[in-house]
Amino acid sequence: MAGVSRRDFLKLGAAGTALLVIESQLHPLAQAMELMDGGRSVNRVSGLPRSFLPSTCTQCPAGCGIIGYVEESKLVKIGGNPKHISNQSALCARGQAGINALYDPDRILTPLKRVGGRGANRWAQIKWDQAYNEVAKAIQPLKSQPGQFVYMTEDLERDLLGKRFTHAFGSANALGAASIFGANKQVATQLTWGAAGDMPDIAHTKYMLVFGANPLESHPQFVGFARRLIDGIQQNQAKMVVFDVRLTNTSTRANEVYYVNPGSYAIVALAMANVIMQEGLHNATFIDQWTNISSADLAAHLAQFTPEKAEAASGVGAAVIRRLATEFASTSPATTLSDGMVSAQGNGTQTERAVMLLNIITGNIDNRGGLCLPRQYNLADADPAPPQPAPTPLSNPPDLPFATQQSIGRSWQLIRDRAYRVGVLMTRAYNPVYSDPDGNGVADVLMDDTLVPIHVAVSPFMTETAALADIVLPETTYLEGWDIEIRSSPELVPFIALRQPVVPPLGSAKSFFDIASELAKRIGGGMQNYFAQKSVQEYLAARIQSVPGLVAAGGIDYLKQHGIWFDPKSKPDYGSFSNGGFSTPSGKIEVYSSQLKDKGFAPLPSYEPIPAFSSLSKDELVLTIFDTAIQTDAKTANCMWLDEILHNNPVWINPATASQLGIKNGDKVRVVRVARTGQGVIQVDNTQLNPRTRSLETTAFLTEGIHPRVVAMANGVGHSGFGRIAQGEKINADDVESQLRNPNTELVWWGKKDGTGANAKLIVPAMPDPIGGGQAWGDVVVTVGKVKT
Amino acid sequence: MALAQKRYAMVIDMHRCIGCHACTVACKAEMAVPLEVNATWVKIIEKGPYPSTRRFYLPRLCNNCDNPICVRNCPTQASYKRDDGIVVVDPHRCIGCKYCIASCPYDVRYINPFKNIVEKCYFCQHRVDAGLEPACVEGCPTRAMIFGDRNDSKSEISQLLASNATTVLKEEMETGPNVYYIAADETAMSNVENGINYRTEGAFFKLRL
Repeated sequence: MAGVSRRDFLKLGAAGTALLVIESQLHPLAQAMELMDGGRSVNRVSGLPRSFLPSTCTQCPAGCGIIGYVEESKLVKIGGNPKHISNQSALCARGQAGINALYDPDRILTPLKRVGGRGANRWAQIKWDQAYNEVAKAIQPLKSQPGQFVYMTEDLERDLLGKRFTHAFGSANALGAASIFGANKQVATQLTWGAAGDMPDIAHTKYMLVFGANPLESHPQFVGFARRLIDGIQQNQAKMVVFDVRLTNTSTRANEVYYVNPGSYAIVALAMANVIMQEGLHNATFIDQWTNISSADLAAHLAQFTPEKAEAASGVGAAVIRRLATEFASTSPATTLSDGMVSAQGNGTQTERAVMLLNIITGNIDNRGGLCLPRQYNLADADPAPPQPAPTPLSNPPDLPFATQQSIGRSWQLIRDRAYRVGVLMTRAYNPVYSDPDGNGVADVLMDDTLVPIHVAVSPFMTETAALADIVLPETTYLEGWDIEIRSSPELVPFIALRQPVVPPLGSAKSFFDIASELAKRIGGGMQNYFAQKSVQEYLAARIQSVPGLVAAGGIDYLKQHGIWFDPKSKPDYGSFSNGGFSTPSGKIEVYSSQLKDKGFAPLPSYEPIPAFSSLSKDELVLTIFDTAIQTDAKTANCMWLDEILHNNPVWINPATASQLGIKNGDKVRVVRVARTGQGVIQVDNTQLNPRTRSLETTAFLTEGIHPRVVAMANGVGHSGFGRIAQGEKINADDVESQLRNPNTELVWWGKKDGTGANAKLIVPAMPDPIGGGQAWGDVVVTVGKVKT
Repeated sequence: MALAQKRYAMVIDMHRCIGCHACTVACKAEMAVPLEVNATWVKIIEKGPYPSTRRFYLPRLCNNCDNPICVRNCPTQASYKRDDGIVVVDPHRCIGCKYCIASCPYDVRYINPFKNIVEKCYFCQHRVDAGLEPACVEGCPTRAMIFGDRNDSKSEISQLLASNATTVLKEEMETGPNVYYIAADETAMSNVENGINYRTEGAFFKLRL
């Protein structure tokens, strides 16, 4: 070994070992091929391939394609499905952490019946047979007033089984929580171009005006959309201009960022539209051919929104507004993006319409790189579908004419005020005590058995809401269940995806199809006829019968193998409206909305200031609650890998504001809601159900990345239930069963060290936008003061 | 048969990174990394006064250096460098003495609290050996992480390295890092020796400048 240094010797040793490793572990395919980006996984030690099944993620609304990798019936890894047209191999933190939810040590694995008072958290494990009988016996007597059966779910459009169950019983009260997740955009787009939602074609655009949206952290198609947005910026050198009240992962990437006064997005958009019309930069041909207003009438309406007025309201300079308007109109293609607090305010529906107008007057509608109509299959429920029962004040609240079956916030008030009588409430995949505004008020209603005589929770986890049930039916998690999963395609090619079990159900958890079918049989009275399919696969196969291409490709078997189907010849059919027009009453884009006029609302896109904001006193600030790419509202806080990253939510304060308030970074502070929150814009009763919950305590996080008159808190943390992980509690090492299921939970460290945050939504009263019915999360006025210790 | 010698490296394009932590969790899942420690994570800082404040990210993982101080300082030869450049720790030889942790200028090694041995990012050697990309690369929503063979001039990574200005962490240490950053922020690239402290102090809100 003379002349060989120690380092060389080590290198030799290393090489020798490495060679051995290569010989024993190298996959035969690897010698010939490039590295593959997804679709497979191998054991870390043996190098052996893992078995896998494609499915669909529901950790957030995006519905990304996933592949579950399994060893010995245990899910060991979740990756993206390379065949999925939206996300391909990529998968966000939440999707990859779904394994934590499946193996949550506090999952409910047998039906539970409460033995103490409601909310006392004392339960007896019961057999499914008993659970079914008790629930059926509670629902059966409501047959003469079926509307007393009320079903609440997170997303009614994706819960056709719940709707089928409710309608089959004869109740119209299958209610979805769209009101808390962006109903205003849905209603604004439906009214304007006859389709709910939009899809900016960001991969092909040259210019983006972003109003409050934050797609690089939170978007209905998060991974698929973020990937295409970055592609657009990198490949087309697309310019992005962001208006927001705080620094986001999106605004930090923008070419220009403007911090706008909260609630003033609409006047910025309208002033830009005004400039475009005045300067003659509009697409007069498009306006005259495809909208129901003339260029001249529109220009006359917009003339009131001068850039100077917009500057006074928003803080964005008039010269900037003029310049950006000109840039937007003279760059083609261009599009707007709007979401977040733009939508979730008392003027949200009108603001969405105002932003949309910029695309309309420049002809950037359903063109390559413009604002496109959503592309998705709308599959009806399987035949025979139950008839639509007569509407009720819950399903169609009379004071929210456009918010059908979407405004649960309104429902709680009607129930609380005994304006609507409930017999049995069933909640599924929905945790209003955490998710809704004024959650403690919701809890008060659920605790009162004169208001809610029976509450059945269908839930894999002991959420804050399930904890207030009489019976908990443990549904499977998304990784053990079935459904057809359809989303708006960021590729603009519609697709149909499948969610199938990647592992068998844990314990005695059952899929909702099994639960609903069995309950329907035991309730009887004809209801069982709508649950005649022998298996969930048969039911889902019936749902896709209307898509010949998929049936020809192999139907449900094709989906089981690939996870997704789309027409391989399909390309984005831009300009589809030119055959047959838009699905509005006039067949055109309804810039002037008679539907709004008929209900007493402004028929043209308009700016409605939020009164409480225009008269903020020196101490008053506007609270904004924001979503992140780490936690999804009430869904993900039982995932330890996510909590480790985001487990608390100190309140963001601009240092200049903090200095005036005598607050330093890390100080304990109290955030107090000001009583006149919501007054003026919100026309419906907005008294808080639980008036005691007016304030919360958290710590101060001083950041230059926020408007001085705004404070911000993250959503998704601050649980008071949902198991020990969500509450930052470690699980004892000697709890063998839990540790076997989810190892290393004894290392949970954040609860003691940092706390688990506060649920900011508890101090927010239910305040639906009177048009769209969407919760006005952004209309909250607060004071922030240091807590003396 | 003779295999062309690979030389693996990673490029992280900060024009594409959105700071979403998908890589953080991909690594936790793929490598069964316990809580409290990370082999991959995202450092996030904010810079600049209102209203021109900006956020900067820096995905962090082992540089799998060409001249790894950790390998040199390992008394049991547990740490070694494969011919393809990946620096690994042989779990059977590691005695948990932490010399490598002390000598790593990037603070990317940790003690596995269950096994009492050192672990780190191995560029997912088990996946690479099976012809797969590392888990963080596969999962990255915006394709900000690119992994491949530098000896293959046609590979995406070779072309990226040829056509972009890149930086590495602590170039002056002459460790020869194999993780290259495109357009990374200088401030974010400083103070990387304190990664462990950063990780355990609440990643999302803790670090600002």
